[in-house]
Amino acid sequence: MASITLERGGLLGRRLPVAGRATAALRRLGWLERTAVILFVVITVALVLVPLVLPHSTTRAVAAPLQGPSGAHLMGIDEQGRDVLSRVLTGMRTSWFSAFGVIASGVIIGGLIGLAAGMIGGWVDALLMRITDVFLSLPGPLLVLAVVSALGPSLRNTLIAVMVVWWPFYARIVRAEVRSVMSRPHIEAARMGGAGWLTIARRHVLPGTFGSVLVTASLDVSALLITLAGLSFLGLGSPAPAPELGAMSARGLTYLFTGWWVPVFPAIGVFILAFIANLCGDGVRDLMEL
Amino acid sequence: MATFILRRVASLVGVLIVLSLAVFVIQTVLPADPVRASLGANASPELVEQKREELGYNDPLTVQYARFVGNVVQGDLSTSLRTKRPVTDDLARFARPTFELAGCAALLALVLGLGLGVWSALGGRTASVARLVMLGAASAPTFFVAIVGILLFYRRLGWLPASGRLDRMTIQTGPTGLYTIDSLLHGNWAWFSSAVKHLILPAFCLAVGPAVAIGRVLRGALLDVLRLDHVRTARSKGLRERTVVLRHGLRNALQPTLSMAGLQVGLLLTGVVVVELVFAWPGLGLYTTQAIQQADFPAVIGIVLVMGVAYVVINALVDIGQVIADPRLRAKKA
Amino acid sequence: MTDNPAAGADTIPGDAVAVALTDAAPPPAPTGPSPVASVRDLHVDLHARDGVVHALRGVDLDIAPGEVVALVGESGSGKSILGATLLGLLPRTARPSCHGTVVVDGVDMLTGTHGEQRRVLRRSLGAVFQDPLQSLNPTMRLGRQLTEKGASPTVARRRLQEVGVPEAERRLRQFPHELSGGLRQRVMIAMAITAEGGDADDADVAPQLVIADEPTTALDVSVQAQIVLLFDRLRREHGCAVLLVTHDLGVAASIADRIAVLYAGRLCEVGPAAEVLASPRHPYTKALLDARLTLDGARADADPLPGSPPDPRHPPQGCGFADRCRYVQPGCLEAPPPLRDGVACLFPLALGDNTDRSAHPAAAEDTPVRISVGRTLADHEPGAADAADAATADGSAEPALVLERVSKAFDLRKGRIGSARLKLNAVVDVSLTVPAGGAVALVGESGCGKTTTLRMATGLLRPDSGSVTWAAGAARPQLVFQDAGASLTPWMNVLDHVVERLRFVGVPKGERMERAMALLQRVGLDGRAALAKPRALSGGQRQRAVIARALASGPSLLVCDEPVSALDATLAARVLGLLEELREELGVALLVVTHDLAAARRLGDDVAVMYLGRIIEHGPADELFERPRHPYTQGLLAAVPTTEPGRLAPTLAGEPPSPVGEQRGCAFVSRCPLAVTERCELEVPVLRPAGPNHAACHLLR
Repeated sequence: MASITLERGGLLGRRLPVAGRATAALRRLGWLERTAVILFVVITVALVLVPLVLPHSTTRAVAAPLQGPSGAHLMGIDEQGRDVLSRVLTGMRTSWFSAFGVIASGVIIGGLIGLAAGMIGGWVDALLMRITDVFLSLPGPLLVLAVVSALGPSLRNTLIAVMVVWWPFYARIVRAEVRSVMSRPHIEAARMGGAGWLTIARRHVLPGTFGSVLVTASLDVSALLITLAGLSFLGLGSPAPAPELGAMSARGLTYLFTGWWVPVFPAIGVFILAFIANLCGDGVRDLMEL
Repeated sequence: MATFILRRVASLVGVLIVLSLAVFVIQTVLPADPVRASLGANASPELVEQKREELGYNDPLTVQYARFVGNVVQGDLSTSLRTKRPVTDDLARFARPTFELAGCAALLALVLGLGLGVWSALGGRTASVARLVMLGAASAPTFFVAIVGILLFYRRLGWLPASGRLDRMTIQTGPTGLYTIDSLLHGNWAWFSSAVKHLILPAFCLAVGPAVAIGRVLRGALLDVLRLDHVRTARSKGLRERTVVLRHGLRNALQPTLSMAGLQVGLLLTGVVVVELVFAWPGLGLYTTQAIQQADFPAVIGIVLVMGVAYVVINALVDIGQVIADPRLRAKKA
Repeated sequence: MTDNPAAGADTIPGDAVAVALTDAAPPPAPTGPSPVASVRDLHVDLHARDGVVHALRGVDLDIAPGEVVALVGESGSGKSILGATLLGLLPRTARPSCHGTVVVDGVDMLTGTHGEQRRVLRRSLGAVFQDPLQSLNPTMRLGRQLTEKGASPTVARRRLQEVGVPEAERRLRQFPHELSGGLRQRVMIAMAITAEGGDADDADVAPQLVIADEPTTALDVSVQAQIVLLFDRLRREHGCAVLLVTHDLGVAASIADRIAVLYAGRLCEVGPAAEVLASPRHPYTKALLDARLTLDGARADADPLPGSPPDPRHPPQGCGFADRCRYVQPGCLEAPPPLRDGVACLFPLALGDNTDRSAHPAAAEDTPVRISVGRTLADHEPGAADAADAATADGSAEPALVLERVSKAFDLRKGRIGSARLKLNAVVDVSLTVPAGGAVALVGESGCGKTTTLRMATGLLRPDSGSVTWAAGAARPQLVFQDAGASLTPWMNVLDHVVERLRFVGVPKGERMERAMALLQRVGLDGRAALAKPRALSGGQRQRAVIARALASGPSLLVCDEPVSALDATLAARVLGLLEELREELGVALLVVTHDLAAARRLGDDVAVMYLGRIIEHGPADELFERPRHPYTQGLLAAVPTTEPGRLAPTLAGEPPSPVGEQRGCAFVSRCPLAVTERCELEVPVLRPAGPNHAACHLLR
């Protein structure tokens, strides 16, 4: 009996190592997006390490107040004599990982709801999507504002409130993807072959949603960074001495004409993070569309 | 189509009910105690209890909710702790400047967004410039744009004022409360130019975010539509490229863009709080910030309700407008 | 064998090669008056992500006024690119680079200014594309679209009447989605034959050339024939030339004056339609003709054309067809043969020779391996299949599928306010038996209910009434999907699909890999294809992968949904051959659902014809195709294009009515060419014996 035999190594070897695949994918991107993806990784690592390399304390005065940028203090000294660079770096760290946290919760909550709605269909779908729609049609940031001002301002409360309004996007996206995957004949093929619902969900449905969730999530990072910074700017974040970018900018507004570096550098910090996240999101989308 | 509008209005009512419930829950269940806050920290427990009973805070929740909705429908949003005036009156007073600002910003966002979208989709060699501009604008928080705007146009160039609605001048109280319109109605040019000058910077800062969101969606939609077969048909008729893009491309790409524009109203509403704070614009946003800072809870609830209703209604109108504009949707949903 | 062209050419091979080298671009034969379009030495390169696609590599073609030229080729041959180049509409994203000249009405569509090109498009050219729904602007009224080129509303209305759109006045105010597929294509054609004309309001101007890119491919057989004939009538009435781009030699034969055959970006044969069809001189044209499925019952060559076209990114130096050509000589590999006397071959087949239908090229593949799979045929003994064969022969075995008066209706507008419930009666009272190891073809146009029937047969859908019975003991019937690509999970490779299926039927883990590979090899997929994701496979390979996956469950019945509708003729022939072999070897029964009558004839022992949810005729294939009893079957057969030039004479007018709502009387009344009686209008006809067939018609004696 003639048959093609495949070497075991051949079967296993068909998967390039992850690093190899990542480089192959990177090579397909434009230089700008490629730089952004690399920066994304670099900045994540760097922000993890921030506490180890911080030049000065973030809450204690280290010099006379309101000095402009200099060699010793690259971003100057704020109105209370604190090193702006140290505060901005710490603030960037908080923003970056807060954004990730909210997105992770959105993906998990929204993903589960979307998957359930899309796969079960019928009244379960109708009910879950009605709830999602209501959440979507409420003005999210306003509710956050109400909740946080009621709970009392703190970063934790803000994040919880944002998480509560952020998942519906993901529920919608995952549900739409699941529906479109479920309507493809390959699901019927699997069912006809005798696959159970768990196999179908795991092998034939879920992988199809990864792409658009990844694209949405990566484009979402910057939206979230900006939203969180805005809420912090309005005083809906950690209370006073904590180094938060939005709050620093808001409090420094008084010194806009006497010490521009106090409000401007925190704002630039948000901008840099959001810009990298945005570029990266574009890159991920381009990759997925190819 | 009538069926669709009916259903959309029905769902609008549903959303409004949920909105009222959400606000009610926040107001009732959350720990901030409005009674204690209104009486001050030194009030005796008996007095607090008496006041609670008097204001109905000890009634069952359903009764409280019914009363809450009844009051809201009658326009009673209780009294601001800070200004000691009915919240409804405060809102009515501060809503006009905000409406002027947000309205201008919305128009500006639409114009800028459409322009950016078309430019980045069809700009040829300069398209990447448009993309970069949008990328940058999408990454800038509103307060960053505002700060840069003030430093550049007020501090450095001295072209535009950076705070308030008007220079010092005597004005008549106009019929609308919108200075740009009132000044024209009164034929007062100094008033008008001052109002416009004060409006430019805040309106622009407020418009940047929504404009970029609109531009990005329009770019994607345009590129998708221009790949479609019917655009090839239009080209095969020997139409000018401009005609092809505007008549056959843009119109079909506007659908997703409009939905996006509707959702951007939400962004506009939060942005307005930041912008009014930075530019000392005496509107709802500034009122909100002050209310938050001083834990003026009835005021916050009132603002959330009013802005929430505006947002929900605008989105319903956008949906209905879309169905009217697109014959396919009309056929599907009627 | 007397026709070996190589032998004939042996005497002067040097001359032929010399000609090829010195005379690279000979002027094509003059075609009377000055041509409306003239293509000279056209090269088109398109930039794809993975390299430069050399879509056209030196094409010369003239189109004379009023002439119908059919441009025939398989997918990837470059035929649509040639059409697009004439229209100046090459996809911009592909950054096309062209050289040569493409002159239409005095303007070079490659180098002319945009203004000149647009003038030509408005005045001299018309375009019809494949998918009429996608090709019309969904948000613009038809009247506006029809007059965009510069025609007046009067002319637009007249055009609609000319192309047979009823109620033209009303249609002008409608949107594309409000029309049926056939009507939409008529509107497209009406639009194509408008042109910018003089100043007078009713200046009636038609373009000189209409370029129609696969104008009938998306349409039903009976509508297809109407549209083809419409082109023929319009060119007579308006004197416009037509470039008909098509993959179907039958469509080309119906109306073309000349046929141009394109292969791998070069013309391999151009000539009068009758000559090309009767005695093709290029080996590729001949293979294409041989691969064509016909209605006459002659079993076409199972694999007239092994191999696949060359990779357009790396076209061969010599003749593009050389590596598939059975007459290949060393000289063929050196330089592309020039087009001389209408054929681009150094060793063309002799004129008038068409006797060599049965000759086979050397078998390219190994002899098929006999295997058996799945639960019922699990053991590796050839005897199992033989037993199945035997069972079929004596007819005593349990049928693979029995449908007993099944019906299915779908609710439309469920639960809407203020609208009555509407029912779409997709399938009504259908009874059908597929004997063990037998083959039944179910034929019908779109919307006739054949897909619903198939879904009920495979258990994907429960009938409202009636019963579906599968052979006891065997695995449930497996479906071979119409869109093979979509029926494969995109992120899984082919091997994983088959292995998973073997896991479901309980094959022990250790055996799965080997069994899967054997199965894949049997359907003709090598190890490389086995490890590829569906997206990386060709259409034919996907179809094979789906067949392999279906067989892995060990079914007694394969239900094939339009198994070849998406494939080129040569690939289709191979897939049909494979299905026949599998039936023979494994004893698996086939239920083939198709709109392609030729495929039905090829595969089916018995054929059933469906119309509007009911079977209106069934019988043995030979009888049904040679002596159809029902007027619908007769009309359907008449509508199938053959390679006999000018034979097409459709008797079916219009399109099938809507299956929504209660049906009274014979569903075919609105299109019946026979004298309809009152009984036809009132009473639904039932299937009655008509010779060896059964037909549902009151007018049969």
